[in-house]
Amino acid sequence: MLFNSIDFAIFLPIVFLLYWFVANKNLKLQNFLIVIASYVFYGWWDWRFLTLILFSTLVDYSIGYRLNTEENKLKRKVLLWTSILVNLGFLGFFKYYNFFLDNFISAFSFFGMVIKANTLNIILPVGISFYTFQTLSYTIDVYKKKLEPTKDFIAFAAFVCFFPQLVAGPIERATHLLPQFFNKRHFDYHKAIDGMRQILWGLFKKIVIADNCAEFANQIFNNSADYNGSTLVLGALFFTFQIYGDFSGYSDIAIGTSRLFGFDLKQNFAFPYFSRDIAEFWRRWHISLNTWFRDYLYIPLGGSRGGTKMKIRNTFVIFLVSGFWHGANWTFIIWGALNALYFLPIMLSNNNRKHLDLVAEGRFLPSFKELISMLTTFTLTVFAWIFFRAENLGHAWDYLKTIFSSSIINTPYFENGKKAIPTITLLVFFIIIEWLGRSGKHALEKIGINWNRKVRLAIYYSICFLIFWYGGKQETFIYFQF
Amino acid sequence: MRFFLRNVFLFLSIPTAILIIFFSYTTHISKSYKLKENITILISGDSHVTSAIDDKDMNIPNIQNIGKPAESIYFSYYKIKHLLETNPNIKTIYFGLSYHNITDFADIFTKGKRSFFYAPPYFYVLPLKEKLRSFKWNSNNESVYIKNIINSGIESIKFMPSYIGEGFSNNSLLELSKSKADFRIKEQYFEGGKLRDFSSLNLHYLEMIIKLLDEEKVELFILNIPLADYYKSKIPKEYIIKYDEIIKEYDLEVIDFSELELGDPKYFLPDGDHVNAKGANFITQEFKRILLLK
Repeated sequence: MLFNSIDFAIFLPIVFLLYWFVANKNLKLQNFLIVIASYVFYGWWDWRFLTLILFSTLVDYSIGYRLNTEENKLKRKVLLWTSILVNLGFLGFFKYYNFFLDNFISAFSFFGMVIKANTLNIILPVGISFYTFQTLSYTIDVYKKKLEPTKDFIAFAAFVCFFPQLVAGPIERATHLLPQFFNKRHFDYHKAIDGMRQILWGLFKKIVIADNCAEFANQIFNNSADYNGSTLVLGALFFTFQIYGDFSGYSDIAIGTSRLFGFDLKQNFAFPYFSRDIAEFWRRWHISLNTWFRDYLYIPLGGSRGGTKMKIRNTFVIFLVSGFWHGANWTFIIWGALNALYFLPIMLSNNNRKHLDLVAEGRFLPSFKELISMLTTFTLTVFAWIFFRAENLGHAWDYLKTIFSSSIINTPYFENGKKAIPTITLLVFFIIIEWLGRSGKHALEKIGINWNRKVRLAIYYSICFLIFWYGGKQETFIYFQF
Repeated sequence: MRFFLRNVFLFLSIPTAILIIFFSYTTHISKSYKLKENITILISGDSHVTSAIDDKDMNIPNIQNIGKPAESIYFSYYKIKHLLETNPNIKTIYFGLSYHNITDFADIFTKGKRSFFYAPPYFYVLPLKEKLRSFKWNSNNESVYIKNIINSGIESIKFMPSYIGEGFSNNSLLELSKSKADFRIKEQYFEGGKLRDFSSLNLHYLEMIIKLLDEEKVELFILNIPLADYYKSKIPKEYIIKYDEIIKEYDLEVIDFSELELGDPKYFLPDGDHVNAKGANFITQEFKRILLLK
């Protein structure tokens, strides 16, 4: 079920009313309702893959339970690795089987050996990368004794499949989300209202910004050979805002929806395009995934504690794995490597924690230096997104060759180019609102909160109107494919 | 909680009320729209009739071309049904029917990937059951579909109900291109290299139109607008046979333009499926001659 669909607009109020009016007196019943609602939400797309979620839930629940009673170190390790292999095994099969097979065949054919093997027509279960990492965090934390395993299967199942964040995150840690299923939830008016504001802004980001930018980004990327360099730059810019609007919009809707049910999810995006360097960008972009990799991969590998070689190795490992997490394509791996190259000089010069504060804090406009830093970081990010969006490395290479040709000085031109003017106008509005709201957890958290109620309502109605009127062709969320 | 629900309800009630008033008003405008009183003959169909017959050039005051590009037979039925209810003067309908109308390619405009754009103008004249069906067909693109319904409503207020159609429109002098005609044939009659199925929806509604006009005692003539020879030679024979069977089964009278011998590429747009302005001029004059003979 898509957040931006009529189905969800009907589903959400029904679940909300049942949750607070029917199941409100019994915590277990509320958790059970969440499980059922989440399975309906997921099964709406393809009910067959519910068995995968259920199996993953059973495996990690049982292993967590066993880890609690098992003291033998070797056996504990075996249990941990069983969970890792089962979860990553599913992920590997559904997401990477064909990629590895293709590359395996190509590698052998390079040495003149012909291998015949058929690729499989595998459907990628929506959200598998997200819930796999979420359940893994539970088992690893229980193994490390950071978390007491739960005996409540329903609460655990609800933690694994919690519908607002099931298919595209934020990837929640068991230490943060699971305990919330054991505490009685009380309806908090202010929390719910802020949740609604966050949903509204998330819908705006997705439907107005991402879906409209998608139309032009697709047109330009899919026919890149026909366009000049400046048009391709424009295409990359459209994709830059598409992916941000799409993914952070989803996160906003997910977090806002969770708040309606009395849950707090962690912030997943913190205005990343206002970052002053790449290190800051990666602290603000897809925070839940990056902190996951930091805690469960980078730190166990030694983090930045070792020598220079170790730092370089670990940085490359985390960025390459992050790239590969996004998809079975070399383009994602190069995207990851490129970001590692951006990041390394900052880290090696110990400047990676330079910008921990808010840009232009307490000021309306940034300083000239801040503006240049932001524009430089943004340009580097746009450049990297070209690899992320390209069909393959050849496509990315041709795209970049055209950008860095003399045609970059020509005026951008593409069919229906005039139709892009409203989208560009909306992008300007979007950037202004995001800038003004950058101190909040979402752009609308603080904007106008003390203004006259009528003015505030007029703003919210205007956003509703923009969503309705300027909404692009309904696209699925990009991150569903990951 | 009650305070929250009350506020959400109040917030939603304003746009809901505006939408209800808007839909009621536009439905009223669409349903009460009447053609000029002297109109007794209608030409209905898709782009084949809108690009071929210039009703204003014929100097026959009681005829109107109400064709609309990409109009499927399903929508033609509800449009004709509604117009007969509000315009009892109508005595004759010339209905454009070609081979492509009975392939399931035509369904993409009714319930497929292009319906979110082509279906909304008819929304206001559909009965409730069909409105719901249309919503279901467009459920994967409902926001754009709803927006287009509203746009059609606004058009009804500003000009006239958009389901009526703007009539004749063709000023192109481009000529047939074999590659474009091949592409058109491939698109209309084949899918994934296989021959397309017949459109059961359109065949059913064609029967409904025939029955309706029979009940209302309105004369029906079929217009099979000429096609480029090159294009026609590529139409799979299954469709030619099916078409002839339909004509025979319902004993339909087809207006024959064969005397014009219009198959030459210079009379057709690049797709070979539509006449260009030159071809339209010939067809209009021939059609006028046929009408005056009746």
